Amino acid sequence: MDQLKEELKKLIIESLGLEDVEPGDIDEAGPLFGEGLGLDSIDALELVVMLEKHFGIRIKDIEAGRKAFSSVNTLAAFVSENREK
Amino acid sequence: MKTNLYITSFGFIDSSGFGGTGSKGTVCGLPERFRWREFSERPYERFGRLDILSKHVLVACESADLPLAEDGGKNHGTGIVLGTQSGSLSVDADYYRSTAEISCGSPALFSYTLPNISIGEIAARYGIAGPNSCIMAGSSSGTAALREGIRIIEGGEAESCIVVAADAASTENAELFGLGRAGHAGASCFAYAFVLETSERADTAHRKPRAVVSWTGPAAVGELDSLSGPGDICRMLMDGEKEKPDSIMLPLATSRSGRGDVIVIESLPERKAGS
Repeated sequence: MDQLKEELKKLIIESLGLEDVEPGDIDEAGPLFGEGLGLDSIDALELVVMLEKHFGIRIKDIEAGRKAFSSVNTLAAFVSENREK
Repeated sequence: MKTNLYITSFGFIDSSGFGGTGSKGTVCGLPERFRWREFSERPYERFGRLDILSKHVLVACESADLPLAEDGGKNHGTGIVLGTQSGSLSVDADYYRSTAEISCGSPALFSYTLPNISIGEIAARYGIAGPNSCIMAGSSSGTAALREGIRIIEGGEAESCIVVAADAASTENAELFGLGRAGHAGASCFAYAFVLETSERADTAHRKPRAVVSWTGPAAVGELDSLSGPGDICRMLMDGEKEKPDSIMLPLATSRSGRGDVIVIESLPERKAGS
């Protein structure tokens, strides 16, 4: 799981073009949107695309997506549960 | 109505580096390969997410030392005009390619598939809320933007205007548009930004006028240096440049008679606001 969290943090930085943010700067339990990393709605859509592109996961349930994007921890759990075997 | 107009600040980035009122230096490669913190001490978290055209535009504006927006305040007295030849075509192509990789295209790219998004990025960073235009007029786009900036002020719509001439074309688009060819005033990726202001506003704000801007009615354009463009204005205004002209004339699109409006930029290196 730790390896997946590191991979996710790198993908978030890369896919969203976050300057001056290193994987170690991201609080795994902290919120991704609003406070925390300060991501916005366009970033959320880009993360949805990232999940499909890299893990083959398509988010069909908005509420499930909302929970998954709460933090790196919840995103890692979501990916681990839903990724293509 | 004719208004006395000044250029009070300017900034640029092109194949020669970047510079302007606020800074001077060189960059190793194009903005897509450099990080904002290597360029400016003023933080800009969004920079990495911008498209390549907006990156050029914002580097030029930052080099012009524009004041940042403060506490969400809006400046309704300043307009923005962007002149671009190839616009967002490179991003459009990237977005199209992204649709082949995934079921939908990249949302982040999609938001930059219109060239006037660069104007929005300027407005957001510097708190500008005046009139704005994006002009695409072929190889005359930069000069046409300058003319529109003059018109906005002379028409009383704003007291000052940020005018940017920019292009950020991929290699294939640069060839398509003839950007970067010998004799063209600029390479395929560049941005030149100017702040036009009324003399009254410049004097009130104690800003040093760098050049006076005027325009003539139809003149014999064939007698002018038709290769002059916004980049030549920056080179004229840059401190330390040798063998630079005192004035530059920029012809607008001409009629069949070979006559057209001409914008005249006269350098004022020693003059202080209010003097």
